[in-house]
Amino acid sequence: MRLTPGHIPFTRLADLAEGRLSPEEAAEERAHLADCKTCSAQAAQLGHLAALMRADASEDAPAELVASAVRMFRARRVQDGQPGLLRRLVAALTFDSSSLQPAFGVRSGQAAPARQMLFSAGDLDVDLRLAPGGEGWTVSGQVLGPCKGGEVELVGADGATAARATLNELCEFTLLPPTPDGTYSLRLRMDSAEVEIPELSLRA
Amino acid sequence: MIAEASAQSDEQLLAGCRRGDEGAWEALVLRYQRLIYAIPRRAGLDEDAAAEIFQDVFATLLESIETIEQPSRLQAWLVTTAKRKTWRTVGRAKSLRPFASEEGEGADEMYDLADEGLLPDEALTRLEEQHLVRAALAELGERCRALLQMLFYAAEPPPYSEIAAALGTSEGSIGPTRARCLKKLLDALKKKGFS
Repeated sequence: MRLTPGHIPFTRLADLAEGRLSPEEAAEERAHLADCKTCSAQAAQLGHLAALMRADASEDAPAELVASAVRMFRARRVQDGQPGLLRRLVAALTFDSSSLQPAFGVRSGQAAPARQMLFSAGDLDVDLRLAPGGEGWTVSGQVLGPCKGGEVELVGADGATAARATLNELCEFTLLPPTPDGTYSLRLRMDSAEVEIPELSLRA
Repeated sequence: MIAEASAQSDEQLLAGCRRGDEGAWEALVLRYQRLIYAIPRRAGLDEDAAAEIFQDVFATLLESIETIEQPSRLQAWLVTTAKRKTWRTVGRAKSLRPFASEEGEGADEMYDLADEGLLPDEALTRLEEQHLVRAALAELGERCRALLQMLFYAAEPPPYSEIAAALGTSEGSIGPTRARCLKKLLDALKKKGFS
């Protein structure tokens, strides 16, 4: 029996929504709710929330399904022939010569060989050669696949272009000037697509 | 539940995708995977059929990524797309003869009205509200999230003594903590526009 009139404390409303009150207690509180707009609004809100949570029978989609949807981004295609829309692809590393065992017989003091890396983005491949030198790194390479020409630039972490080149008729390029050690992103701009290699680390 | 990873809005994530940011795409997929999967499942489709619709919806999103007109309405776009693909799948399975509307819309866009019962608007609204509650829940601290999950998402809520043991607190503190967490949840929901 309620001794003092007034609003139902929030904890009590939570008990009601949670179903922790005995039938008698619940009936008593509901009687008050009939007379009090504030309390009944709050009770309704809590009740609706509790009902939603209780009835939530959803499950996460299977992990492999989610992973497969995430992977779609790399291989994405925009419909052909739509004017003004460009494919923007982020290339994935598929080969890195620096992950191979060092060649037999390489003695210290010899110039380090160029690092060769291969990246893939959709139906394009980017073959890169990273050669260290006195003035810095010379990044050169070739775009393989449907390439008719384009521009390439090496962009530093500060957003400034460190080196650039134009693709020749074989879609080969040599980025100039040589670049100091650091982490860069390589951006290729062709008619059909823009390809980015987001983190190219130029370091010994 | 896969925890919501990104604090960025749908608009920000969409802009990120348009810039070629793979992380933005991943965040979008993680944000909506459960809701998109729930829609065909709620319509009674099995896991394989639901998986196909799931793939289809995200592939369609990717194709339309540059042209989605209202980024702030991405959720509505996703739900509508999932709903239509579900209808289409169910319609094919039942070999119903579709009829064209009076306005002459494509015949495969409309179905026998009786099929509305499969995925009525109220069911979809409910799924979206539940999605919103889970998103708000993920914003609360770990303690509130764990407590409310045990109290309201478990098929059989455990007794307070068990909850207290699981959380490493006293039984007496469960009631007040629960009240505080519910208040926080209501506040978070209010910010998300939940009425």
